This record gives sequence, C-alpha cells and structure tokens, in this order.
Amino acid sequence: MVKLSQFVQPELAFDVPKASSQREVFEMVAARLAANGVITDPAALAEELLRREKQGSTGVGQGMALPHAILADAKQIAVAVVRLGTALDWDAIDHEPVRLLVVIVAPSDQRADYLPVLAEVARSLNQPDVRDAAFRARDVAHAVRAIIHPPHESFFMRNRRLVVFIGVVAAIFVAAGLVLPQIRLPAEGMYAGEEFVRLGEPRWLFHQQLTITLFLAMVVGTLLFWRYRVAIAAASLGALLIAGVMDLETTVRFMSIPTILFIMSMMVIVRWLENIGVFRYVVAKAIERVRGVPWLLLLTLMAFSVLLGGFADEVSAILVTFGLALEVAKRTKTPLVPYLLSLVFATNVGSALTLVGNPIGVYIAFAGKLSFEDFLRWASPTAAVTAVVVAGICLLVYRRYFFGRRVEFDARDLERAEENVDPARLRIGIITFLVVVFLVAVHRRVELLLNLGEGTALVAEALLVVGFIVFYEQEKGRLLVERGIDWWTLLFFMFLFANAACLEYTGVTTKIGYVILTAARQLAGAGASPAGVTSVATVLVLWFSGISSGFVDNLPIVAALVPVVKDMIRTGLPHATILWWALLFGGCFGGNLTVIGSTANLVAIGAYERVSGKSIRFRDWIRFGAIITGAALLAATASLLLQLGRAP
Amino acid sequence: MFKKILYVVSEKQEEKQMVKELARAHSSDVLLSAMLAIGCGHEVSHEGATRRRVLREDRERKCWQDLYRLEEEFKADGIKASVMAREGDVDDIQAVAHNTGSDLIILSSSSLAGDNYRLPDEFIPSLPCPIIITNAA
Repeated sequence: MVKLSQFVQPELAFDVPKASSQREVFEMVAARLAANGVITDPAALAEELLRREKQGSTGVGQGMALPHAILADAKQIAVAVVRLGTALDWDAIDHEPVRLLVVIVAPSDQRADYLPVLAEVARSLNQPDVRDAAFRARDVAHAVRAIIHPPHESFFMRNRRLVVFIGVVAAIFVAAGLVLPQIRLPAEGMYAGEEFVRLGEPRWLFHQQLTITLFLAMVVGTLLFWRYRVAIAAASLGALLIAGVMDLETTVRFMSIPTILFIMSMMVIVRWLENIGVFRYVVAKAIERVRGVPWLLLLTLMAFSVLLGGFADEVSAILVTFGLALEVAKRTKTPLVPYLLSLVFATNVGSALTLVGNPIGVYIAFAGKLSFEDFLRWASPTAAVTAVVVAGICLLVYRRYFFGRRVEFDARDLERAEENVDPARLRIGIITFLVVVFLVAVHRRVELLLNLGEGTALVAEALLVVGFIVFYEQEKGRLLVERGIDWWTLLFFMFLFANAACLEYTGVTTKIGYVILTAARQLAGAGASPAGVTSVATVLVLWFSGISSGFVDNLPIVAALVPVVKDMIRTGLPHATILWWALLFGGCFGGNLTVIGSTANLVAIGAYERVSGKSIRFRDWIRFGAIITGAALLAATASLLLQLGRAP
Repeated sequence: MFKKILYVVSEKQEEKQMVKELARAHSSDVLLSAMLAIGCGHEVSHEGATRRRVLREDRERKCWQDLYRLEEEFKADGIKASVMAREGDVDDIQAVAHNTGSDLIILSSSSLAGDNYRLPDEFIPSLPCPIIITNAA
C-alpha cells in the first residue's frame, strides 16, 4: 500500500491567495517544484499540465482538482498541495469552481508507482471527512496532514448509535422503575375498579416498566436505525410475549387488523390510480390553465398536495405534485427548494383533511369509532384553514421567486402526462376514485342501514374496490397486490399497534392519562370548570404530539397516546372527544417540523437528492419547519378551543 | 450529438473500444466513472469491521487506479477524458448524469449484478439522457 507521507512534502504545500487562470497556478506550482529540486524545467511542467487539462479536466468535483503529469526531467514522484484563496473555474465534472489542488508529478521511469500514488490521493480526498478537514484546515500544513493521515474512527465512534441506543434504553428502564411506582391512582371514581387498583401491585409495576422500556426502545430504535424498524418492533413484541406480559391471542387482537386491512386496501387502490396516471393527469391539466403566473402555479400545486394528501395518501400526493414541480421549476427557472418545502408542508397539513389521508387518521378513526363524516365535520375545516395559513406563509417567505415576474411556460411541456395515459383506463380510474370517496364518505350510514358494527362497512367497501381492481387488471392484478402493498410498512404497523396497545393493557397509558389530567387541572387553576380542564388537556395533547411527531415517527406517538385519550374520555371530562382531533392535528402538522417528521418529507428529500445531487440540512429545514409547525398548531389550537363547546 | 458520455467503467475490453469509437465519432468528452458500491465488488459480510474497512479501501484504490489507467489510455488515443468515483448504487447514476450534464450513459449489465441484473423501478423514466446497457457476458 502506498504511503502518501513519502511523497507529500511540507515545503511543496502552499496557499495561493489570488490567481486568475490555470496557467498562473501551474506556473507557481512548477516554480515551487523547481525550487525544491523536483524538476529542472518549470516551463515544461506548466505546459504539460495545461496540455493535459485540455485533454480532459482533472477537476474531480466538490471543489477539487488533481492535475498530474509524467515528465522526463522529474527526479522523483512528488505531490504538491495548493489551496486557492479565490476559487477558479476548472471545467470540473460538477461545474464547481476549484479551491484545492493536489498536483502529482512523476518521472517517466516511475510510471508503475505513479498510478498508485494518484489513486491514493484521489481515494483519500473522496472521503467527505478528509475533504472537509482539508478545506477547513487553518493553514495548508494542517490540510496536508488531513490528506496524509485520514482520521480513523474508534470503535465507540463507529458504533456510537448503538452505544447511544443501549445507554438510552438502560436509562429509560431505570427511570421507569423509579417513576412508575410514584404514580398512584386514587381509589375513587373511575379508578376505584379492580382493574385499576391492581396496577400498583409489584407484578404489574414490573410489566409496566418492561412495556414502556420496550416501547420507547422501539421509538428510539426506529429513529436511530430506520432501516431495521420492523426488526426492532418484532423483537420488542417477541420480548413482551416471552416475558409473559401478554398472551398470543391478546397480541393478535391488539394488532388492529381492521386498520391494517383498510390501509392495505387503500395502498392497492392508490397504487392502481397512480399507475393509470389519474392523479398526474388531473394535476397537469390544472397546471396548464395557470401557466405564466408563478405564484398561481405554486398555489395550484399546493392545493393539489392538500387534496391528494387528504383523499389519497401523503406519499402519492408528494410524488405526483413534486414530480410536476420538478418540470415546472426547470421550465420557469425557479429554484426547487421553495417548491419542495411548500408542497411537503401542504401535503402534511392535507393529510389531516379526511380519514384516509394518513395512517394515523385511520388508526384514530378505528380506535375512537369515528366516521368519515366526523372527519368532515371536525378535521376538514381546520385542516383547510391551516392549509391557507401555510400557503400564505410560504408565498410570503418565497415572494421573490413567485411575484413580480411572468414566466414562459408552455403547456405542451406537460403533454407527456396525457400521451402516456390510456383514455379508457383513465375514465375507469376517475370513476373508481369518485366511487371510493363516495363509499368511504357514507360508510357510517351503510353500517346503520345494514346494522353492521362500526368500521365494518369502511373495511368492506375498500376490499370490494380492491376485488374489482384485481378482476379488472386480470394477470396484472396479482402484481399490483404483490408490489402495490408496502408489506414491510404494514408489518411495522401491526407490531407497533400491538406494542402500543400493550401500554394500555399494562396500565401505563392509564397512568400517563392521569398525570396529564392532573397537570391540566393544575394548569387550569383551582376554580376552573371541567371544560377548562378539557381545554388545557387539548392544548397539552396537541402540542406534545405535534412537537414529538417532528422528531420521531408520528405513528408511534399517536399509537401511544390513543389509549391515553381513551382513558381521559372515560374519566367523564366534558367535550373530551375533542382530544381525538387534537391528536390527529398534532400528529399530522408536527410532521412539518423536521426532515424526518413524516414519510412525505423523506420521499420528497429523496427525489430532490436524486435529481439535484444536493440535500437539505436538518437545521435549514427546521428553521422554516418550526415557523410552519408553530403557525399550524396555533391555528389548530384556536380552531379546537373555539369549537370545544360543540364537541360530544 | 453526444457532447458528454458518462461511462460507468467495467472490465470488458470490447466495451471500452465501443466507447472510444463512439467518442471519436461524436467528438465527445468521456467521463470515466465508478460507483463505488457497484463497480468494485461486494462487501465481505463475514469479516470484522476493521477487516471490512481495509478490504473496502483496497477496492477503492483499485477502482481509482483502473480509472486513471483508462484515462491515460483514452488521452493517449486523443479522446478527452475525466475521471470520477462516487459512493453510491445504480440509483445514483441518475444524479451523476444530471449533475455532470451527460448526454449519454453507458453501463455494463455486470454493474447490476448486486441487483440481480435488474434495473430499479423508475430508473429509466427518470434518467435525463439515453442509456446504453451492454451485455456483460
């Protein structure tokens, strides 16, 4: 293996504060090499380096170039490191100007050793931490040291996430062991029943400690090791079974199979509509009508993000609208980031619009026995108002890109959307979509009419539509079911629901609910009415779920809080059903807070990275995300408190 | 017609010849590239972390040497060539092609061995330019 330290000499490293051309830089390098006895003819080296640049740029991207040449009069292989004070255009592969040059020169008789040196320099500088260290070094000597001796991570640094995970889980276990026995439920009112009294027994206390530790370990684990979320959730569930906390039958019941069946059916339906091109066709048609007015283009895309987020699912919504935004941004010469953030924010807000927009909506609907009509009454108006607020903020923040200019935007640019669509299938697709929306909207009435249990028609109607689609697609139907359903995510949901329901089973959520109610009573003041306590509890649930959903997956948060809300409703608080909506808005709107707040964010960032090769930093996102989330949660708080008296 | 060709290098000599002929015919610049996750063999999973790192570094060295050797070869034949290597998978070719303004991608099917010789869904429709996939056999 080549050791760079043999070839990189400190005296061959220097800073060039100002240079105006490649020739000027090469002449300086050649002069330095000649002064140190590496070459005798500096002019020949400068010419050779220039000639080779003309044969193809040595700019390897990321602000670096590796000019290299074999020269008959070179005495030895030498590596010169040059930092440019003013970045220089180098025709690099990524078109970035160059700030760091590593020049490699070799004599003709050492051709065999020259390639390994060149490869080692390239390999070293291809590592982001080496590159960053070289750029950030306070002087050129430190830059050289970073290139020669790349920092190697220790065992703990390499496995720091695992170390953090183990440490956090141990801390949670200890903290739960200390805190849970201190939360004593009063033996009166709702808590006088045997099922609540036993929660203070040592066996139950241990089960609570174990359950909350495993649940939070799952939450932290999915945050740190997202790729392994199913494994973590499965292991957590397995541990609960082995420890005898739950039996198998209870575990399966807790998996909330009706919720899973409904989400699964919607995945098939939405994937089918996507394949046909229904969403893209409708949005593209709308965009064609508003060409030329940038802010209207953005608003139209945001409006469809809200609607698709509410009536399809957040991932489909962002894929369709951001896919079109890519084309619009390119043709209107607008940066992509304003579109990216605005559409993601709109999608997350829109996912609270109806029952089908987000898995947390589906889960809340089944847990709270809420119908689509309940969502239309309680969720849609607030989500719509919040969407208007969010759109206003986005337009205000990005006004310089969307106001004061007209753009050339040809409708033909989007014709591909129509060319790829089979009109007959498109008609069937649109009709099916409308039928699904209608059936879901009237599911409660169907259940009453046919004397079915709550939620039965919702699942049955979705399954009927899936049946129709699979029949219609014939051979392709099987592929649609195999590939259209995200089995990995569904498994995660099942394990997660069972883990969360175990919190309820062991009484952890009863205790959390009691703590929240006590805090709400204290915050509301001694003379506060019961409705006042509900108001404070609503604000607590909304903001806690909103902020925490920004940092961890919103479904575990909601799944853990659902039993808490159930318990708080059981205590007889007036208008307590408002808490369901607080939970829904918190879970959906909180997704805007950070990059990892929701699946839509991750999907959009992934698409943005693929197309641009750039990413958005966590702190850049949170700066704007915090404003949007704060505004959305404030709008939701106002809406819920104003309507509190009307809630059952 | 093809001002810049993005060539994801492979071992095949005939393929290199084809790229050279194409570059000559169109007076193209060739970007010799390697996606470090796909072009340089696969991880040895049963080895320890340090051993894996050493093996990975060795593969990267070989990759860069191959790239620069090929660059010399292309330049000696009068073809404008640059090199680049990125950590990434076949999916990332799209971003590379986009960022480098490539007009044509040449990829060997051997580069798809890790994906069971399948292109990821949505790969072709999302490419910014045409692609030629050569047969590794």
